[in-house]
Amino acid sequence: MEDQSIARIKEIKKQLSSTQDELGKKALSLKPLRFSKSNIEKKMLAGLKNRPTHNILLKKILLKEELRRLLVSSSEVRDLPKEILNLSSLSTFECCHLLVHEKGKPVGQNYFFHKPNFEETKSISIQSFNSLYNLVKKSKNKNFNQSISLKDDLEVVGNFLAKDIDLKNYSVIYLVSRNSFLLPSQEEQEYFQGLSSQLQPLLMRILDKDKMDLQAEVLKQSLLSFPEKIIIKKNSAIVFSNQSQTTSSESSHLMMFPLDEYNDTVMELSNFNKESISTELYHSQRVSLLGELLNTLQHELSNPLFGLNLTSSILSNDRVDTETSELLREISHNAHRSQTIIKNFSNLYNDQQELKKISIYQFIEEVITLTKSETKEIQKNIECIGFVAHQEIEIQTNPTCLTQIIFNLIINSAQALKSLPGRRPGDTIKIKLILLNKSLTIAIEDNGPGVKPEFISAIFDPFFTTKESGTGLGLSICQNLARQLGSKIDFQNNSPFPGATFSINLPLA
Amino acid sequence: MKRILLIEDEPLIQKSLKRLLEKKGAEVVVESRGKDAIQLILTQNFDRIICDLMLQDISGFDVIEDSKARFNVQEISNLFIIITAYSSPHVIEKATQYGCLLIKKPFENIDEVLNVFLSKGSSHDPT
Repeated sequence: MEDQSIARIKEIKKQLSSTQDELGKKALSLKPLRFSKSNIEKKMLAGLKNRPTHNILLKKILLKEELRRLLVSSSEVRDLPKEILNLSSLSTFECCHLLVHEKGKPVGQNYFFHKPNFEETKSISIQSFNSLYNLVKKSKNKNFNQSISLKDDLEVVGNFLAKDIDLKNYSVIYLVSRNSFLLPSQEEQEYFQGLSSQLQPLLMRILDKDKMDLQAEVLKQSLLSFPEKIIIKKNSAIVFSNQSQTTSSESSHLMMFPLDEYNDTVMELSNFNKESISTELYHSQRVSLLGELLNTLQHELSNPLFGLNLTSSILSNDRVDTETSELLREISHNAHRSQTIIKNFSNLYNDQQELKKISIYQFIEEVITLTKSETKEIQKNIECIGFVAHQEIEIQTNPTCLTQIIFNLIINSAQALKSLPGRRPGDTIKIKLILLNKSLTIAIEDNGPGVKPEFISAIFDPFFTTKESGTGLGLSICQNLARQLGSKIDFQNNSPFPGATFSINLPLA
Repeated sequence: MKRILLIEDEPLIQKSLKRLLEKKGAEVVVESRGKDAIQLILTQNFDRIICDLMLQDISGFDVIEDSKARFNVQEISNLFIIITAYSSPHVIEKATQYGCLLIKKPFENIDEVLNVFLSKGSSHDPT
């Protein structure tokens, strides 16, 4: 059986190594794209910077420089509409929309800029996005007017230019418009068309960056909130830790593992607190082992028990003498009983997290059955106070946790009774169910030796034990479990009478 | 008379069910191993096939899968009844995919289950 925390660690490790890979790619893709710029161009640019020009060649160089700057400078997708309008060839347009749809998502984003400085980001439904995208894609001259009924989604007046870009993970439409019914000039149209080949790498870089940033952030948060201490070291220098104080004398080293193939980067995992973790670990291991065991037992026994049941009931109907028939009926009955017992037990250990309504009297009876071998020769009574025994009193709780608690407390009482020399016929464990003010107290009371006054403050501490073979975890685990149920276990000696009482209070369903 | 194939590897269940079904007038062929059962299914005619899921060699679903060599989906859903002690949601979903009736062991009401085994079925007889 796989230990749960190791499974968790493995998961984190997997995430880490995959993200490392992605981070590497990200670093690569973030390198600015280089555009060759000849010396002549540089000189020309220097001279032309602030001077309008009509020379076509110079203009082209200027445009190229503009695009280069656009490519290098932009890092946020929402700034793009503004920057597109800043391009000198598109300077006569007033509005720019950039519609981005991440493939597979139910909505797209509409980034909008209107001169001089109105900026807005809205979402756009996938239906609207798709109908516009298809329209733009099919159109030859990419020249549209507002009659195509987009007013609901886009604030477009007059003629506009639009172009589609298809990326691996995204569909993008960009469109420019001005409040005019004049058709865009041939030159503008050509330039607008050509822009897409420049925008494509830029968009790829920006859009994927957003996604990677998010992934890295999610991973970082999950590492920060990881319950144990995590340190990531690169070449022995700490690059990440989820705990502000890097050294703690109490923390113990659990394990370390490499995150890359050269062992440059390693992740170390430590315990904050040795006691609490090993107590919980010990307990969760025990419960899940028991649950799994019972489940297997139920399935493996259920078939042969059913066979026994079936066969004996057939045979008892055959013509046999009364005694044989009686015996066969007994076999059938016992097979059926065994089946019920194992089924009830595996129900008790079902899903650890699940809250269920349980009928308290029946529940306690089942737990007592579980303790049978440990409590032989000891009387066990269930005493109901505030209700009658078979009245249906239900509580909403986690049956697995509660079984553990009651089971442990009964075993503790039995061991306390057995610690006294000689068997006494009066040895009794009394389970009191007290119904009061819409809550139920379960008290496990014995008439054993009780707890010595000097030990009382320590009995719930982990590893505290007075028994030779005890782990000292029983009561500590019970207290932890009770806390999980939103309650706690109280203790008192029965003085002046002998023995001790442990109790837990739970709300009714 | 109904001819029934019972694939079940728990000897007591196998023998008891055979006996009970025979009392009701059916002819019952029993088989414990899935692979042998497939041979029978492909070469002989049955009105009903009752199949346990956890067999010693292969699973009951493998038996059904191999029976597709002879029967179509409709015929399989009429012919097969699955009996199992492991009725996890996954198993139930898979049985539903084949369209087969699934009965949990232990049977709550044996007589009722026997009647279900003996009800309609018969897929290789087009009448």
